[in-house]
Amino acid sequence: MIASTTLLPQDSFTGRCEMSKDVKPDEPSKLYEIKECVGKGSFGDVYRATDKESGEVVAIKIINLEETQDDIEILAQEIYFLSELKAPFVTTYFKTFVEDVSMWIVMEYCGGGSCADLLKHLPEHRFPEQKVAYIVREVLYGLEYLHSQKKIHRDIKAANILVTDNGEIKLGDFGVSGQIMATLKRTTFVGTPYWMAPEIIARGDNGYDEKADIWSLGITVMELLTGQPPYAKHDPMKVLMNIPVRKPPKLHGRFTSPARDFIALCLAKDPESRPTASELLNHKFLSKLTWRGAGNLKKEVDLVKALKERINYSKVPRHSVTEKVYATGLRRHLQTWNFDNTDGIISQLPNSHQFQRQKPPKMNSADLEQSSPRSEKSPISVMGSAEVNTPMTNATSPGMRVPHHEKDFDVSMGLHDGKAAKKKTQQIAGKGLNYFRHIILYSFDRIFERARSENTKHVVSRLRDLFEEAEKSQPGLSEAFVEEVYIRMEEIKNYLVETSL
Amino acid sequence: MAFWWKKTPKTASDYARLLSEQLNKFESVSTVDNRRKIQDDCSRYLAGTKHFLLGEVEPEPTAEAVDELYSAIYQLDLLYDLLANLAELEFEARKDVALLFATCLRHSRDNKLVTVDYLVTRPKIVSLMLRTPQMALSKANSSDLFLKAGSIILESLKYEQLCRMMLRDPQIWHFFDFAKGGSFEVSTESLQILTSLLTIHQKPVATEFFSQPANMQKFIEKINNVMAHGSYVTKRQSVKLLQYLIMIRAYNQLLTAYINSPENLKLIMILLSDRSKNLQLGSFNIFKVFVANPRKSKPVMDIMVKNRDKLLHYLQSFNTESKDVTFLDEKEYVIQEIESLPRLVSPNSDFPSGTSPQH
Repeated sequence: MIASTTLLPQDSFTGRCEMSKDVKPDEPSKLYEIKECVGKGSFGDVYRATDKESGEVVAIKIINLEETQDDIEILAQEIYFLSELKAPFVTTYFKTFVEDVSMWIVMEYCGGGSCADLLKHLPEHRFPEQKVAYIVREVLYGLEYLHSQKKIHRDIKAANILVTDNGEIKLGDFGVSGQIMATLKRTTFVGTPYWMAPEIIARGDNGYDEKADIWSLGITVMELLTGQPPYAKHDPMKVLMNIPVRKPPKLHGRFTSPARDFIALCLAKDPESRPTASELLNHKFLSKLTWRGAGNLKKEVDLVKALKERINYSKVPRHSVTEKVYATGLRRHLQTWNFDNTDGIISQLPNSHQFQRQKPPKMNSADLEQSSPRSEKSPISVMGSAEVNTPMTNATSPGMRVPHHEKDFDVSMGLHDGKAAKKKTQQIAGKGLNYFRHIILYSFDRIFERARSENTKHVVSRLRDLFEEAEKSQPGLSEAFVEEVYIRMEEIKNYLVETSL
Repeated sequence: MAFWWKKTPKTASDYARLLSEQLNKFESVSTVDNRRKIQDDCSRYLAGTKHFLLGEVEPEPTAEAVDELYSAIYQLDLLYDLLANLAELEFEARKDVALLFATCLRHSRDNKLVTVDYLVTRPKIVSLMLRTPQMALSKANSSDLFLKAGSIILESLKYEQLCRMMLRDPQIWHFFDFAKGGSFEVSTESLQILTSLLTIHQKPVATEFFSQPANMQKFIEKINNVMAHGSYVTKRQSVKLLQYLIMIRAYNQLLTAYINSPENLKLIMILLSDRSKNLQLGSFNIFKVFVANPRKSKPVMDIMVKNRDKLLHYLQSFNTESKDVTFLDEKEYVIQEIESLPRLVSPNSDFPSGTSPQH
């Protein structure tokens, strides 16, 4: 057996744990001045901020890492992804800081908001064709850049197309929707079903590639021209189910044939037959624009800014920036422990005399009698006895998720790696959690407790038995059931969030 | 795909040869302009090599031609030169280097991973691979460079033979230090490298790494250090790593060693009482193993006995809002175990006897 550590003299942890002096992190709150909130999400808000030294305006997304459900590893993957993008058509990532328990992601600021923002505030709630052509061309430059690096955006929609103060377009990950990052998490997956390519939803054996972005672009063109993605009035879950089976949506109304043709090309159901971003850049829908900047959105941006000012439009962040977990004046730890006389000395002195001396003082059998359920055993025998079988319960802990494999490879390079990694994650995630036992049974027990009348209790327990039977005959049913309920709830929640904005 | 060759490659192996030539010029270059020119050439040849290997050129290269290029890459030790000059290359070119490594590593012929087999015979490349991130730290734009260098290691760690080579290299210990300091990118990726290193291929880690007492001791020392003194993010990641490692059956030696030391228990108890919920929960998952150990060492037992009432008091209100059945079961079990510890009646006990549950 190895006596593990040699470092750590007494109190070295307690003393130095108080905000490690050997790490001197930059404190972003000292470097930037936070201005108003420009976007919000379920676990992070986006602010306009200025660099105190240079005066440069930036966007900062602040994610509270204590609250977010995302693993730090996944957020880190997204940061790595962002840090690989340097192009004029994509919002530039500058730096990430961690202060207190929050991550501060500093990005290029797009003062015009997102195209979805503009759609919402412009009086006509839509863009004329030549403006759409301008937006689409810029987005295509961005996609061409991404796709050339085997990266997929996966969340192309007006809300993720950002506009600078000068009316220029930047492909970004964050807008009012609050979905800063384009991860393929379930919630994101559900959050924006209207734009999703059929192959993503169907999840065939072939997975999907960058052509999925082209489909979403087609839907986005419809959104920009009409103010909404197709079927926007329908139930998102139904739309999601229908995308793979239905014919691709078509543009209705008075639009030119190049616009219709462009959309039809993007919305080919077979990803193979969809054109690439580079090919689309030569489409006649875009060729009306003679030079770059011709149709920028400066006018729209200025108009919307003026409108917002008139109605005193502002966003209220969901999280406080100033509230801190490790606030000054608070102890870093909630409890102090008694480590006196418990350090090194004892272990160095195995001889029974000193052993005796180190024994906790004034321990009498009456106390033991009272406090120990295993009163028949003396404290020493409890320690030394091999018969005391303490079950190791940890094996089933859901906390034991594989940290490394959780990475969402699909976000970054290697289109082919993604599928294998996904499969792995699913296997692992499934290992610890028993859907029937941990969720269904648990919920039934709770409902049972809540039930007031005997009759209700009876019905509940019958239903539970039925469920158990069903799970036994169709293993995996609980998982599917829970998943569906979860998706639906998320969906409704998102819907409520959207409409309350 | 538009790239224009200075010297048009006549054969497939020319791609590698031209790139290798340019890379070797960095050493002797004196003026900024010349350096710039070499950078441009490298970017161009690198992109060309990448496109060729990925079959993205017209006409699509034959399998023989691709094999020829791979052979040239090996013969010229191009991978070594790419690593050695990574910092000299431009932003986009560095990404191409990472992609080129990933592509090469995946390359197989007749069910054999050709590049992996080649790297096994070239320990100096693997060694340089592990040292590139450290070199990156001294350069401008270090985070970015570090990420690229690190991603090459992460890619290599997917292959057992390369993982085993890395496990033998003392350079790996430095990643704990990088995890502790450094930018968000540097510290998170360092921990991911350590995580991959120790979790993907469990057999060699168990039989060749943790089987050596010196490694075991050093690992515990290092991970304790980052758990105690790292940033908030580093603490969370390292607690998570340790929590995961001690649950791996094959690493039973690690578990036993860890839960026998009172110093480790102290650290875990301190983390258990941290203000961060996530750190509390992570360390609870380690703490419970100390508690569940049927053969606690005397010093470990002493600490628990001495803190019996404090622990019970703390655990009563610990994460009470959780609805996780497994957690609640485990918490109950831990409380029961601690209750069954002998009680101390000491005049300077912090809690009057009334606060501990009576039976």
